[in-house]
Amino acid sequence: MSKKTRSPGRRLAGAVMLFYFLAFLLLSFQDRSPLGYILCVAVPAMIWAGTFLLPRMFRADNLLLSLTNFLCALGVLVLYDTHPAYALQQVIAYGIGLGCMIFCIYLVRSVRSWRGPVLILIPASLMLLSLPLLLGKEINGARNWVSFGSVSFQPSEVVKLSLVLILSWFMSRRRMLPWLLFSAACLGMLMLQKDLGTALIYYTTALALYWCASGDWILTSLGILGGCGTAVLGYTMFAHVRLRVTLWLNPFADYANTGYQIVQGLMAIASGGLFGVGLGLGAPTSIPVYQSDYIFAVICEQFGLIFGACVLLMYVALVLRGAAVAVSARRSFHGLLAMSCVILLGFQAFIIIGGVLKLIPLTGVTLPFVSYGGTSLISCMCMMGFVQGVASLNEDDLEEDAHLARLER
Amino acid sequence: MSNELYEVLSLAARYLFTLLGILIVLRSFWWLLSDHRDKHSRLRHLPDAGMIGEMVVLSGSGELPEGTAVPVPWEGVLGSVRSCDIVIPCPGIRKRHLRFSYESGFGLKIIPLSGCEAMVNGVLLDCRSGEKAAPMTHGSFLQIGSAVLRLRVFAGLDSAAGFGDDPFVSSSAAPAISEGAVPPPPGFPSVGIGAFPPPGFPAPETSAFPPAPESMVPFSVPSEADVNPAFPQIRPDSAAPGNETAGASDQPSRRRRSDRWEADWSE
Repeated sequence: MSKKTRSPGRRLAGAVMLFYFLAFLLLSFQDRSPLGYILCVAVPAMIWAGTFLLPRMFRADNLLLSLTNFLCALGVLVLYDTHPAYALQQVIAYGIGLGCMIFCIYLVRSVRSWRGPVLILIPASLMLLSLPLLLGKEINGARNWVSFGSVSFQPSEVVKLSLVLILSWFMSRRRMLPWLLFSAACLGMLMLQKDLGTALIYYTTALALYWCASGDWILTSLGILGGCGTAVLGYTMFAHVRLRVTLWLNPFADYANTGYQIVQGLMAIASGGLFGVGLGLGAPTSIPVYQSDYIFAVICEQFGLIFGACVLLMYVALVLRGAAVAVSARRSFHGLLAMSCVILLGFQAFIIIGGVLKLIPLTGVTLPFVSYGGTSLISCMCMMGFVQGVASLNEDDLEEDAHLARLER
Repeated sequence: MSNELYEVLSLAARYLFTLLGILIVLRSFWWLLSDHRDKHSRLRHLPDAGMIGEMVVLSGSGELPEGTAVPVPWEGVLGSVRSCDIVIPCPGIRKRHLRFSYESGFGLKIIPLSGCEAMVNGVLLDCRSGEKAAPMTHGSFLQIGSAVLRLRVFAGLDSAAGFGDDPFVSSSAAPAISEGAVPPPPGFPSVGIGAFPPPGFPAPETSAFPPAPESMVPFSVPSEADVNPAFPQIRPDSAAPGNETAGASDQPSRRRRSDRWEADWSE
């Protein structure tokens, strides 16, 4: 790592660690809980470890690490502010996620041929997606959770990882029919589960990746039109889709009942103003599902709209950096893998933030890295691990090119 | 701490948190931009970064004259349309004609796409003939449609392949690196390798291949536009030790490509 790239990393990590040290310290003054003081030290320490130790192992991209760590820690902070028990679970999931990210980096660097793993992942993914239909329970109108005793998880979050691998592999081989069939099967099962938000993410990721792989504007445009047509069809066929659209257009019409969540979110954002009501103040728990879907509204209430815009810009920076990593990849599979991961994460952030701000109809997806949910966080960290693996391979390739060029002088 | 004191602290701290948030975002974007600039300056000094070599056109068309050197990336698709990684706009070449990928220790694997044909070192590749893929190494010939190309691999890249049990390679397709000769495609006179370029073909303008080895003339420095720091510069007095066995190397090694040229193209 050159000195020039080390300096911005240290300064950025320093700012991030200072932010979280002060934030957790402030919250500790409020509740005087030992957990707060522990997190005051533990979270900056985890950020330090994730930002400085990991690159020494794998030539990881420091900027991506810094952004990922910031967003994960932001989720822990907001959850500690609203529900400390959730924060502890989130910290544990964050630690597991870091381990999974390291594993995914190692996987990308070491696996030469992805043909075998992809052929295994296809039936495994379809089986996982069918589990909620067979064993799942309906939560908030969607049947997308599976419970085994005290452990419950969302198979669609796990299948996201295999989706990016499978789509990238088939597209790098220019084999369009298999990925089309796999995508259609996944979408069909998600529609049966009524998990329309995840179906939208899958569809958009597949379409965007197709365009990245082929550059075919015509078919991509047809795909977009097809998606719009399906949305219109869904509107006419499904009552809950019509409800979502109606609430998006005028949530105040039924403020006390179906529009309650959206209105509470909007009012929380408005009450925060530019600088927020103050960490630990306000009433974030009055928003339904504040810990998951509406965590962005809590962030805007506590820290203000300016900080909310900063969080949005961090997602933009994450996507831009991931796209740069993808474009620099030497192998098309690696490039497509990195691109699919950042497209998926970026689009997921867009649709949930857009839904919270009432730009688009609300869908029940999580804010990547921030929302409460172990499966979601670990899945996002694994995708970031794929991107980091590609970034580390890019660095190796550039160093080899420089070495070869020096040999010839 | 009393609630009132906490409220005052929290209200004061919100400006600090906003400031830190803005600082973090600004530093992130500044870092993004500076890395972008750094990368471009690094690539300016490594014009062939991401490439494994070049394909020199021995027989082309009006749009692709003889002697043109087409950069070869690590993997991609070769065809006649602009969206391909290697564009060869010659008659007989389909929009997407073949796939290629470079593998260390193996060479540039050529796999014609469905319904397409290619000839690598005289071996026909297509679905009907049973030969579906073949490796190309430094000096190999590729004939597709009306185009004939010859591959030049950059120095330092391993391409001494172990072809023993590889299912993709038939014995006829194994390039005779160890024998010091690569068979030219059919229709091209079988000439002594030292008498390059083959009769009927003008010497490439870029001087992509060295002259007759008897003269032991150092490799001509290409023009400014073709300067490539990764290309070897032949220096007769700086031949790598152990060069006498260069043509019969069993193990991949990062040696200067110029040393191997002398061995490959000597009689």
